[in-house]
Amino acid sequence: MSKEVISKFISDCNLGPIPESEAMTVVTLGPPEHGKSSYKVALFKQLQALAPRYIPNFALIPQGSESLARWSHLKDRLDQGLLPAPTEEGDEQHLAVLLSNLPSHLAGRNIRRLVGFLDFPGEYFQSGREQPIPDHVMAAVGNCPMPWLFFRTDHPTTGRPKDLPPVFQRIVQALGMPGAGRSSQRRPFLIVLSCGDRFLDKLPASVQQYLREDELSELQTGFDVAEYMQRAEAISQELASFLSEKFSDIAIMVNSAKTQGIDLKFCVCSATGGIANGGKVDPKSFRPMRVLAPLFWSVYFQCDFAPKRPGKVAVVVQADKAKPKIEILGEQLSTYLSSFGLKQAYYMGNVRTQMGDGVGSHLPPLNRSFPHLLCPLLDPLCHRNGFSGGQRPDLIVVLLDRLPFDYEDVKRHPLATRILWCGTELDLLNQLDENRMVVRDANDFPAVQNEVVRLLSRD
Amino acid sequence: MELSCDPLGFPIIRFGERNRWMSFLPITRVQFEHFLCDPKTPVEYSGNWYEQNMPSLTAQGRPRLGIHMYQETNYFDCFLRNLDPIDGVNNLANWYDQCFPVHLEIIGSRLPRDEEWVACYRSMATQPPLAESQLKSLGLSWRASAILRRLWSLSPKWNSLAEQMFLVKGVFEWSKTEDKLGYRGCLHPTLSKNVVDHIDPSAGAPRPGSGARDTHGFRLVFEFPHGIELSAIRI
Repeated sequence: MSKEVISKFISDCNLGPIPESEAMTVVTLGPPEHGKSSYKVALFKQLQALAPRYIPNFALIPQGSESLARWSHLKDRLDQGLLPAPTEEGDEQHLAVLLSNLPSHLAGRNIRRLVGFLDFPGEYFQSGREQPIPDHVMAAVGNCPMPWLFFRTDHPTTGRPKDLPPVFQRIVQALGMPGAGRSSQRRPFLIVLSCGDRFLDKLPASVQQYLREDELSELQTGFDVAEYMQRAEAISQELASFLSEKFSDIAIMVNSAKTQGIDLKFCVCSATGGIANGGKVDPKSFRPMRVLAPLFWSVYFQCDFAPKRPGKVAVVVQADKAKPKIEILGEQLSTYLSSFGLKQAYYMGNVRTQMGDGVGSHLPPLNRSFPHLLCPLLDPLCHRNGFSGGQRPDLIVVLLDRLPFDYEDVKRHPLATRILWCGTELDLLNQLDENRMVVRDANDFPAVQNEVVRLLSRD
Repeated sequence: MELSCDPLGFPIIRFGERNRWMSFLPITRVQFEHFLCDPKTPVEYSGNWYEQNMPSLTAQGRPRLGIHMYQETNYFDCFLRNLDPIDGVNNLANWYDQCFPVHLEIIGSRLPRDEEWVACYRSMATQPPLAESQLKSLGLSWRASAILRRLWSLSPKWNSLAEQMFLVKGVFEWSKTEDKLGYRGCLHPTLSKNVVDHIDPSAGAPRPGSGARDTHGFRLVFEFPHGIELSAIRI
């Protein structure tokens, strides 16, 4: 995200200094009356519902006078049983909210996140409009890690998201070279199919089930971001195939996005849950469906973009006889890394949790009874066909309570400089050459997190 | 002559007419450590077992040497010794069988028969030593490469491939004649002041009885069905 956009948010919100990693923008695009503002109400309703039942102490706080006014407007409309008024030209009321007290299983190390929703009038994206999309809109799109393009799926018979391909192409063309300035990584772009309820029975069975499930109940303790995103990815692929098979112009759009370096994702949601009638809703039966998914896509990609190069991988290894307080640290660290979508192998005694591709066949877990050798774990990580398709991990966090027998070999291992050693005994750590830190118990977790981020940010 | 890799990235060499391959070096402790750390390994190979049976490899007693610490006087420490030639070797061989990819349909891993060891020695004794560059495309693991580089750097001149493979001046190596255990090879002088040569094919392999010995290591033979092709390089 550009520093100017961040600075503006932070100054508007009067929150004091906020690190870049704690702020993100979401740009919502799409033709008029495609559900962008309704979606926002639904999203905030779902986020507010997270506390206190699902996430104690979680809070959603509008920031700055402009956001407060916008927030009040949205809330008033809903209280009156009306959907939000369309955003019109000259009425670009952006909305910044602070998500505070986020649990680490949702947000990694940032327990708060400032989200700026940049909303633009639908007229800019109307099919057939001759004027180009304004520069300030495209600047915001260019600075947004993952723009959202809303399209309705409520054609009475086909569910066709009408004019989606030409509008998408206009945005891509206005952006110039997609992916420019973002190294070789493909640029993510999210297509949000709104009003999914109206086309529910026409969707693939797995997508129908996905939409019908209660998304809030997933977010309780034990929630696994990696699993959540895997499912979101599967739904995205299912929708892309489904739409491509039905509509040839969408098939062309999907293929052309690939060649243009765009990582196109699809998701489907419904702001009201099918109870809107002529623009009116009963606030009591307002039932959002899967409206959190777009936000998670953005959080996921924001994390992927922020301090790391693409494809960073971390592995946690833990000695068998580690003290319980270290074990807690291992669990926290594993959750934290997976929230970044980092591929990892996690060892704790004889328990192994695998995440990501290619781990199982090439990375042997530690034997329950023999945990004091490290090289047998490191060697497969260098395997040309191994972990993460041959990509070596950028960081290996080793939690240990004694020096590995093969430490002399570990010191000269090709991955040695990528190890962060964490242990409870100062005397033990003093025998290690570099990247070491003492951890006494779970209270030291933030320090470990900071060190992980620092090391992952190395060139 | 063909070279390939075992599942741990250590070199193996084809010998004889059939699809049989032998460890290029005596089994190293590094290979054995992979075995120890694998959950498929029988539970009796615990940390306690290791410290009681392999004291020279652990932090107890003599410290475990890093690969870079091998010198002319201790390089045989690189090779696994002191493992029970019946149960210990069988367990390792069975584990190796499970490590090879299924599509290779391995018939089995085992100790070499006496005549196999001798045939291999005879064949390698007539071959010139390898240059390090010949192994570049083999896909050796990092530690296999490091071990070969280190061991080969300790001798200014090798006279044959057999010497380079430590079939001589290495450790005694277990072999089998029918079901009886014997051994072959020639010890490095540092391991024993009385250098005894058990290479001569005309003499039978000595029969030591069973039991682990500090001077005895071994190689494994890996046999595959006819027609199964391992990824290999010709030398």
